[in-house]
Amino acid sequence: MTAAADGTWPAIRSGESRRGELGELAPLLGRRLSPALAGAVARGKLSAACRHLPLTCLAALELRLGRADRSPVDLSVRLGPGDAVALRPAARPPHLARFIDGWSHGAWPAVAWLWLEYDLDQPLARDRPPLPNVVAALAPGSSEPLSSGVLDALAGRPTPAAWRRRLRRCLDALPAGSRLLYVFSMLSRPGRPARIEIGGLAFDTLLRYLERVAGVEMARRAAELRPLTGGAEPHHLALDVAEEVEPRFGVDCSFPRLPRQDGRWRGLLDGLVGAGLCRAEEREALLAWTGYDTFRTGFAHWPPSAGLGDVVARALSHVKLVSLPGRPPEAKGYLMLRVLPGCPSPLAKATRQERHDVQIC
Amino acid sequence: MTTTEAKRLMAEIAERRDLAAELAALEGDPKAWWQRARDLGFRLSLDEVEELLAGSGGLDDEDLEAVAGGWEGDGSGDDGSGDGGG
Repeated sequence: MTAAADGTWPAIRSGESRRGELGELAPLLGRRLSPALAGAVARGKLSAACRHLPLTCLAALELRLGRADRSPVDLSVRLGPGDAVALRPAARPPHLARFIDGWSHGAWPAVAWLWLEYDLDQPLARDRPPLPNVVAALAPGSSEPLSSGVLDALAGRPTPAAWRRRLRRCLDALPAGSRLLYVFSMLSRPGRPARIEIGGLAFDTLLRYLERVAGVEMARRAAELRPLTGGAEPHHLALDVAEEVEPRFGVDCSFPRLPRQDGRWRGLLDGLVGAGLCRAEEREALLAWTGYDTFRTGFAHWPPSAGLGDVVARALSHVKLVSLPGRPPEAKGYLMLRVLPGCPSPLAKATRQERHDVQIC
Repeated sequence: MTTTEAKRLMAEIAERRDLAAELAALEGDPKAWWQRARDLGFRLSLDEVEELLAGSGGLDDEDLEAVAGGWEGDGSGDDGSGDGGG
């Protein structure tokens, strides 16, 4: 894969992507995303960023909760190999283009999926999306990212020796039943440490692990988050690692069933509202997000490249609690959005023969 | 079943917000849709209109849970096919 001749970012290559771009979802998104969660500026930036990405991607909206101002909404997309071929990452930065190209052709088998994470809190250029952070979702049983070279390849440079030693210590201390899920290269934030995300942690285990790899002060701050987790388990734990484990960390909370089936979602968000980390209208909008549109319910905003039988699915995914020293915790909500291939209505099938009898044309 | 006529109607809807609003008011009434489409010169059958409106059989809760779980590392909560487009 080579850079565009004019050096500009992306563009879905016509002929390679028969399915259009994620930006086609903007009208439906505008209809479904509550103003309580995203103001006009955030919506505009989301639409602009989506224009450069394949419609087939699973998209995640990251919402900063509980803020009086209109906060930006960040966008992440998950790339499968087919999406990666359709996406033309050009030369921003070249090492990422090379990595995606190699991965989409079978290199880097340790990487199951790639996520591109766009921070949309900066002014956007007209002709290109911002530099993404890149997140490798590691395949179960894969070799870890240091020995496989994944982290170096994502960052486009060798991981400093002191960082490697600290990462090694964190990985060697992973508790039984947990697993390294993601490694992040924070390309949009130069100088920032590497990030790892560990899954499958019961809260007590998470506390012991943090104390072991990061010290008692971080474990203490994590313990303070516990009343805010709504009883969700297991958790993901996100750690920033450089020469030391950095003081910022995040704990993800979710439940496997949908909010309408599991009242713990409301309990989790009630707790955040009570702690001043989420506004009541945000809670209601998050709980109302899950659902789907078909052509019938969304035809006036239907993505031109989607099929008439497709479905645009929306789902509340998880809440992240972020802890920093000397500050109250922050809460973020994550909403998923994806176009899925639909299937014919059973009613349509069952009545097809009868309808043929009244067909006129 | 997206026929040329159905695609032409969709394009018309996308272009004309007044028509979109008018048809939205007829939601749930395929025969009214069909009649209006014919008035506008679209040679669609009632069968096509009903399929157009029925679209998909929709999603069940497990489908939505899989989308919600798409952040679960290896994508095991989701089919991850990347084939979601139409």
